[in-house]
Amino acid sequence: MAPAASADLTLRCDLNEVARADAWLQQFCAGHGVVEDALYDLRLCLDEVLANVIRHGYGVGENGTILVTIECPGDRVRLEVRDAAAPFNPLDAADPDLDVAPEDRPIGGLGIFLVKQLMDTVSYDYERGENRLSMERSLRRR
Amino acid sequence: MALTVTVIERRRAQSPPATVVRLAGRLDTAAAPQAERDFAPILAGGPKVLVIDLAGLEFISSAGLRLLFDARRSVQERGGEVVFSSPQPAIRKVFEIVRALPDLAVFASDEELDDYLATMQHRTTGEV
Repeated sequence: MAPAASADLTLRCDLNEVARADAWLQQFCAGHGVVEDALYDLRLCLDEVLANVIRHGYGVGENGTILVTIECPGDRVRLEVRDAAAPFNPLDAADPDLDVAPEDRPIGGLGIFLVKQLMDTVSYDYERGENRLSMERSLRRR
Repeated sequence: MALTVTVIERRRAQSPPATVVRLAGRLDTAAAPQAERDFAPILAGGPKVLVIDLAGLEFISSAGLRLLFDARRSVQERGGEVVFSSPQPAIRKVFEIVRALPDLAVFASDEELDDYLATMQHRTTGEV
């Protein structure tokens, strides 16, 4: 069996880098036959996770490096985002209360909630000084 | 495609005057700060009816949702109303996930929007 194709990208802690990551993600997916619905979800999740690391992990204006890896094992796509900011598990955050009117919900939590809804699995671990968030989505599901 | 924000004053017979903000492109993390600056003068004007036209919007992230929700709150606090029109399926899906529907008034087409605004006119003026 041929090894799963993968790619990685190193980003600085800068919100402008999110657009570069998006272009990179699109390019990889175009070469791997990722269907439009899956690509949309992946783009949204990468945007949310990177924004989270830059805003709440390192902090806007701080120095830091973010490493993104993508691979397509079988009929799935897997994105991994690693950073060396202080240990922070975004999955610990409580889901937003969706029973209150949208504009009355507290700021934050919405992005990670979207990630949890759009991906099939999301997992976090902290190892050797790195936060690592892994996300997987089936390419079969619409 | 980056985000473009176009503002139009909408005046039609049978409808109250409305400010229409037409969004096109991507309302993501990168675009949200500029979009917030674009929205500021519109919100400062205290529109009675603000229509946010989503037909050209291709992508929205939580930063974009936050901006739209905040805009709605701001207009409502001054006694106005915000309605959304013509979201593409991908945008509608995100709205659905965060269960923004049916709290938000979202119309699938311009025709539906027209009908609603006409009803609103009748409600406020008592015209038939």
